[in-house]
Amino acid sequence: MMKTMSILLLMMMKPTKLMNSLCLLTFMFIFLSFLIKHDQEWFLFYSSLSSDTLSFSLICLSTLIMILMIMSSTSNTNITYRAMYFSLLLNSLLMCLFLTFSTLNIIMFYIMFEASLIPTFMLILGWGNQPERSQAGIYMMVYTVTASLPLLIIFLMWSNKIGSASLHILYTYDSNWLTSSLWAFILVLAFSVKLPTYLVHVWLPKAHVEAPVAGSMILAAILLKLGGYGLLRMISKTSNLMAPIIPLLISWSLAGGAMIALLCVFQNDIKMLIALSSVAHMAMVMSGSLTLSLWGTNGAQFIMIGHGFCSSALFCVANMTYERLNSRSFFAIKGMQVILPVMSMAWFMLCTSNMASPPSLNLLGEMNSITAIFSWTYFLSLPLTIMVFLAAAYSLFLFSQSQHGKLSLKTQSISPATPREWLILFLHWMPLNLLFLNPCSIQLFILPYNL
Amino acid sequence: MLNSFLGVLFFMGMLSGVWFSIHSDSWLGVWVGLELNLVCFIPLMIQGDSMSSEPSVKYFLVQACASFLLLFSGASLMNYKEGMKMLILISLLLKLGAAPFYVWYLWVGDSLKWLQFLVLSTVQKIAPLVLLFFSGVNKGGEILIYLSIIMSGLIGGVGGINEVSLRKLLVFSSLNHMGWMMMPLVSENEFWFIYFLFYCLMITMTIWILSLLKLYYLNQMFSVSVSWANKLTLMMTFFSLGGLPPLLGFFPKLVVIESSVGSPMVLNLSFMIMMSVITLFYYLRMGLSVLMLNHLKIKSNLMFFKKFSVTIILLVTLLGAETSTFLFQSFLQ
Repeated sequence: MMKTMSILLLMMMKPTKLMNSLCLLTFMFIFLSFLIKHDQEWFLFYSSLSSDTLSFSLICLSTLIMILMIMSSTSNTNITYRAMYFSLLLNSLLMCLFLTFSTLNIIMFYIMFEASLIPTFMLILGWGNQPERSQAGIYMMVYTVTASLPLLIIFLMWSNKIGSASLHILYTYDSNWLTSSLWAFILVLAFSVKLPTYLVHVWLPKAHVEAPVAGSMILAAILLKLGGYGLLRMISKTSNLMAPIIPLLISWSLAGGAMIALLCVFQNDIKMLIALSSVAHMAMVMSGSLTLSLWGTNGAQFIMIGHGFCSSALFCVANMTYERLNSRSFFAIKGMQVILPVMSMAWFMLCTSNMASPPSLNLLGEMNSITAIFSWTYFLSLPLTIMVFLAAAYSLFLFSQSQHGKLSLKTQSISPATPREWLILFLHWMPLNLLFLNPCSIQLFILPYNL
Repeated sequence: MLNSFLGVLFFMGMLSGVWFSIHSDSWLGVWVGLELNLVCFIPLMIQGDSMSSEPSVKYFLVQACASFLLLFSGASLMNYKEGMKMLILISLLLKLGAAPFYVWYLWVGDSLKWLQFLVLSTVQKIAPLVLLFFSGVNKGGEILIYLSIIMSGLIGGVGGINEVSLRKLLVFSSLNHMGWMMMPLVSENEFWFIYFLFYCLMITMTIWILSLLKLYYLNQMFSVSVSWANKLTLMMTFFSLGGLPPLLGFFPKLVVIESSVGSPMVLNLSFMIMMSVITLFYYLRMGLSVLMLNHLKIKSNLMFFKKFSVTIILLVTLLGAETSTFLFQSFLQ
């Protein structure tokens, strides 16, 4: 318990420089590594704070990504000018995420789930560049809050019925078909807005495009995973409610994923493409976890972790290109291979990881998910095929469009990649591909019904 | 308000009017208390802005009408005419400024100074709310109260969308909050009181920071250039009024939802929740202007201050819900 408390206390500190904040977070990460040897079961650290593999891996991911976020923001003068507020915001966000992932009380889960919106909102509004960021922030807030307030009613209704708000003894009776389906739908809707799924994804590309690099990284790496985490936690408890509408939900997510993947190929904005590709990946998470099988759950978990590293790294490298060329458009970013061959290699490795090539964790996740979905029904092979094919297509499109071709005339003198940038990309790419060798460190062994 | 002898006298008279009306046994006593309250509040309103007596005249006319209606219907209630109960409820809603009868509130609120506005939206609501609670709205008056709840929620949500005057915005937000407050009234539980207390705390914090920064209109927010901590405080008080989860304003909403979640009120509740999302939209819009870090700054209007009160406001807003969760732990198990 002391270890966890000390981690939480460390977050309270007020760093005045980004470097201090970086040291602090690294310190926290080292503390967390003492907890890595956990027994794959519930591990209670304090009265209602506990963790299992699912939450622990996400806590580690969020701390690591937070470190990388600060490292990648040090080149932004806008951020270094107000470094203290920035690191305070990041620390409060990390605290919210830590509590969301480790709490056992569903009301607490809800509160922290929503609380993580406020620092993100401030991050987008405070350090974004274009004036459109206000619209993006409002979209994000209103979409998420609207969808998740009904969730609060359902949580309170359940905790009223059983007299306890513990996640472990969530009891969901179904009174009749209509209301239980409605509850199940509301439950899924709240998380699928956060995830996001097609039709309720509109806030995501806007928020990504307008956010500073740290905001995009945390959005793609962790905040989308909040939705996936909620789905994995709640669906297993409410499988009796879910059963009637699971076919609808899986078809919705997979068809949406296929359409979003198609949309990715038509983008001319790098950040937009990466944001939409994460929507397409999240469709696989949702459908995998909705199959309610061990394989699907594990697939969702692997894709979540893998995508956390991969999309964050892609946003990072897109920002590095943006800092050099001041553009995110494919029309301006061309032929980067000639002037930045080193970064071109990073682009290649990350794009291939994004399309789930071996040996990335995404491959393992997609293998698991696809197996689970196929064993659920063969009819979903069409959207799955489209999604997997188009994932390769848009990833290669992203690579070849930005790295090959003729240099545009404006790009004359460009600084080479610095060791800091190399370090950031390496620290993203390494765990993404090394975890493939040891997936049991993040694998969920228990049956999804006990998750 | 409290810096002169007469001011203190009138303030005490106002408070004792509230005390008198909520403690009396008969509607006559209630009427006397309300009139005392009204008569003592009018000079305080004029004190804030002696140039214009228009808001106080409007306020006097409306409140006098409502008091007369209350007296008339309260006296007739002795003959066991149940229809009179509706009139009592209507007069109390008129006193409160709840939805079908909210127009005076909008006009009067928009032309008051911040301190008077604060009194109007906290102290002046105690008596009507307590009387609504005591007058047994769930025995014959439900339809009127349901109508008022729904209209308050709707008007409070939609009305503020295109508004630039901060006082009008706060009036609309208080309409929405009144809808929330009246919901536990129907099922006759005391949670409305918790909601009212927290609402008073929130609106006090908001008005405190707004009057520190001397803001009255939305477009003034871009022109003040204050430290980021103050901006953060302003933003947080707005978010708290909107009821975003970890902040102070979420707690009373949680309590009200918890209290009415098992009953048929759920439909009403869902409607109110959607409406409070709309109010959240305009709080966000208010916050946008303060939260943008890089925008064009007008140098002529620089204000540098860091007061202790700002820290208090921020702490209450941020940690209020957590503290109150410990205080009211029985709700949350």
